[in-house]
Amino acid sequence: MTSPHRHRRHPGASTALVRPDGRWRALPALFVIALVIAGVALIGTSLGSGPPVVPVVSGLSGLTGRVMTSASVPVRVAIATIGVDAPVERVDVSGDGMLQPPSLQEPKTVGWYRRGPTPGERGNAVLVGHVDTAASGPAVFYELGRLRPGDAITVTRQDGSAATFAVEAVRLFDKSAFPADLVYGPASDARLELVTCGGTFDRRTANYLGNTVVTARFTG
Amino acid sequence: MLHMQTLLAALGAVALAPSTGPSGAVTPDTVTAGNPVTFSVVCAEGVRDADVAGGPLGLPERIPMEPGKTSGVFSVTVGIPANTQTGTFNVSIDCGDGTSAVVQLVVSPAGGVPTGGGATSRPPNHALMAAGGGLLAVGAAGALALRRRAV
Repeated sequence: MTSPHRHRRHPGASTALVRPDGRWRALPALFVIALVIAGVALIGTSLGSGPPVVPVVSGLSGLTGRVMTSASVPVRVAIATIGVDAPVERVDVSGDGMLQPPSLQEPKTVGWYRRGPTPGERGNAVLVGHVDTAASGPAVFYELGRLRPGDAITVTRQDGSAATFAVEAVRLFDKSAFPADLVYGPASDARLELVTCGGTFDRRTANYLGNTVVTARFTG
Repeated sequence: MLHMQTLLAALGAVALAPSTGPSGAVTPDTVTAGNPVTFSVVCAEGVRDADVAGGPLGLPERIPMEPGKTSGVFSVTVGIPANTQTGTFNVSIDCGDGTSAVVQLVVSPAGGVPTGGGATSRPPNHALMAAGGGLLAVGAAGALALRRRAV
């Protein structure tokens, strides 16, 4: 393996990596490339992962002031672009004043905040759903952050009517700065606010640090 | 101070709006129980008193408002009781001349919504990161050796 032609500038260096004619030996070069690929892959794997990242997107639907005149509680919600077709149950605040989503045992169920307007009525109707469970993986609103302005959301109500909404904005908020006025506040038109978890998962408190909020406007 | 300016600006806007009855406002219009809100109203000029009907919020039925610098303008800041149920409240602000305005106040749930168990979230793995860095370092050293011999 030792070459008779030692490199003049590096008389002590190994020549295992080069042929006597000065060209690279393929095997060591491949080995080095493999090392680099493995290193990059390991670092990539080590970075962690989570629910879909939410870029800040918003657009205006240009529709204003349309509302449904009757109140009727929602029973089902369908969002074709992310494959959601889920039953809706009523949810309420707990003793500490926080909104309680459906149980983690029902990861495919969406909750409607019963002390707000029903979908289609004037104001902000609020639907909440889990992004994932503690053990089994993605839940009903896992893909919520992938929605884009214009995507359609259809809510079926108990009276048999359907209220359709167009996505206007998709945003990620820190839970410590949750926009209560945007999600729960008064509104002059009929809106739908979809809320799930997002951002970093804090293992110490077993809680996501952010909420993904999709704002949609009633279209008919 | 900024808050007061916003309030005055809002009052100015409603004062200029053509309207037959008094104009009322509540700031903020969304609040969690236990926090203060300010009710304000522009009654007809010359009205001497006004009050807020606080009953639905668990407050006194008649909360007297403080007169502002301009005749007919009143405001009062009250704390929403900590045990007030969340929901939407239509609150009447009554001017001394018998007219009234209704404002909408939302007492909202507190904070964010706990909507995840973490199954799809994986934290950074520092041991893997260090191992990857080590491989890269070895690879870099190898590449350097190859290049030296290839020159």
